[in-house]
This record gives sequence, C-alpha cells and structure tokens, in this order.
Amino acid sequence: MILLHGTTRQRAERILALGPDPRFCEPGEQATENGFSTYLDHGPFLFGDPDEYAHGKAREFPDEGGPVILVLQVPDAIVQKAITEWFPLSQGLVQFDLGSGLEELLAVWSQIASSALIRSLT
Amino acid sequence: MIHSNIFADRVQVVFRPTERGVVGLVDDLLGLCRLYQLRINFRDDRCCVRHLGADAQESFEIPVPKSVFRAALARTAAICNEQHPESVTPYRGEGTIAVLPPVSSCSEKGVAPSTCYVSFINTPRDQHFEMRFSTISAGDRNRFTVLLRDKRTVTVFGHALKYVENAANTTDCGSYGILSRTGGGEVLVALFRASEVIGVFSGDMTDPDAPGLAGPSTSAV
Repeated sequence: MILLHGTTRQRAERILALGPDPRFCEPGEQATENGFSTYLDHGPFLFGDPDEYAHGKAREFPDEGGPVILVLQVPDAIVQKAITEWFPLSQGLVQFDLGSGLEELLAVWSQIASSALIRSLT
Repeated sequence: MIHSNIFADRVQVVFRPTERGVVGLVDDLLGLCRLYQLRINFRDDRCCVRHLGADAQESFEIPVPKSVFRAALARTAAICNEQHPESVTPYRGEGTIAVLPPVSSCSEKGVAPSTCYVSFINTPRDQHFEMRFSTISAGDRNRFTVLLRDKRTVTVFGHALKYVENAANTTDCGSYGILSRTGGGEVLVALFRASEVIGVFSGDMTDPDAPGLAGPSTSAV
C-alpha cells in the first residue's frame, strides 16, 4: 500500500535514515509520544491534505529544506496492524502508534526505506 | 453538580469508539455545541475536559489516546477549511462551523442548523480545543425558552439565538442573546449570561439533561 507523509526535507531524510521516531520533538520542545501519521495516497483526505502539512511544517521551520512528501510502500499486513476502531482505513488516515503497527513498521523499516521516495513540493 | 455529571456522561459517550472512527467523534463533538460549551486540553498524557465557565477543578479526564485527539483536531481544521477555505492551518486556528441538526431530528419542524465557534492548537507539544455555540436561526417569531440555573424559565420571542462574546473580558464566558427583526435590521431583545444558563430551547422545552427525553432536537444551546 502506498502511504504519504507530509513534512520537511530534513525530517524526511532523518525518517528514512532512522525510521519514524514517535518521540520526535521539534526545536525547543520536550519529547512526547506522537506516533507516525500517514495518508493513503488515493485519499480520502478527511484530516487535511499531506501537501498542506508539508507546507505548514516548512513555514514553521524554514531552515529545514522546504516541503516534501515522503512516499512509502508499506506491506498491507503492517498497514492492517494500524487499523483500529478509531482509525478505520476508509477514513484515509493510517496512524502508526506503539501497540498499533509502529513496532512492526520499524522492524521492516530498512526494506521500506530502500523503496521510499522524497517528492519535493514547490 | 447533577448537571456537571450529566455533562461528563455526555462527553464520555462521544469519546467512545464507534465504527465511524475519528470522523464520527468530531461530528458528535460538534453536535454537543447545541447543548454545551467546552474546553479540552491534552497534557502529560491526560485528556481533560471542562465546561467553559466552570472552575478548573471541575474538569474530568477522558481516556482517549493522544493520536486520536490529535486526529480529531486535524479533522476540525479540515472542516473549517472545507467551509471557509484557507481559514486555519492544520496546527492552529479559529472559526465557525455550521452544524446540521442530528439526523433523528431532521424531520422535526423548526430545527435549524446552528453554527459553533471553535479554536484549536495542534502541535506536537500543545493540543487544545475549545468549542462554543455561536448562532441558530429559528424563523420569525419563534419562541425561545431559557432555562436558568436557579430553575427559573424565561420565554422570549425572536428569530435567532446568538452567542455574544465579552470582548472586554476574555475570562468571562459571554452571554446568549435573542434577536428579533425590526424593519431592515435586527435588535437584541434579551441577553442572558452563559454562566447562568442551563439551556435555551426553540419550540417546546424538554429537559436537556434527561437522556432519552430531550436532546438537540428541540434544544438550541
């Protein structure tokens, strides 16, 4: 399944290299548990558009290389682990949390990263 | 205190997972604006809810995962932008959202869409949501019945109910005003402090805090 994550170039490169960090914190902030949010590439985008998130982060952090979309090919079996009552696939948001698919995602991250793309947004 | 408990019960019902997921949660939460004004904060892994205007110690905790609350805020932002393009960012904003009456009451005469005011912050560090009733139009010479906390009721004729913010004092929880058309304009014919109001009803009044008896079908606030 193809999943999208809107972010900045610097963060996308870090995610590719190290895997999603659920305790990632922005400059000046303390680490908190936030999971890893992605969207089905075909939508629906009921929670906002990934491009919008990428542009928003790039605006708030202008030194991070601009907005990009991280395009991930994730095995269906791992996406299934992230489906909960709160996050049915029909709503287009695939939310990886600890206990809901994140551990499984990290376990195969090197494989996912090898086929991932970083798509620039203008 | 009884009303506080019923408020807590209603909010907890909204936060129970359903097959409608986070989208359903937000729909139900916005539906509450016809009855309640509330503030929700997520801090130190705890999601706390309180009635606007209530003391902080009257807040209660909702057992909801942080990712669910953050997704609910993202959905709120998306609805704001659907109704008013580019009005908010995914991270913060404020605006009004038109809320349709519940499906169960659509067939009832006189139940109009209402608008509610929302403000939110949704960053990795801060998550906050505030929601309050804004306006409802109910037709000319509609009867509004206002139920006050001291058990008195007041009946006022008007065409719309509007939330009136106290701009001079942001800690004040504002007032509900009832508007009436006169000539080419409209005038405020009654004003009630929100902190003194339990509910405002268009049409016949039923108890908003009696599940199964009343509900948003006839209540306006």
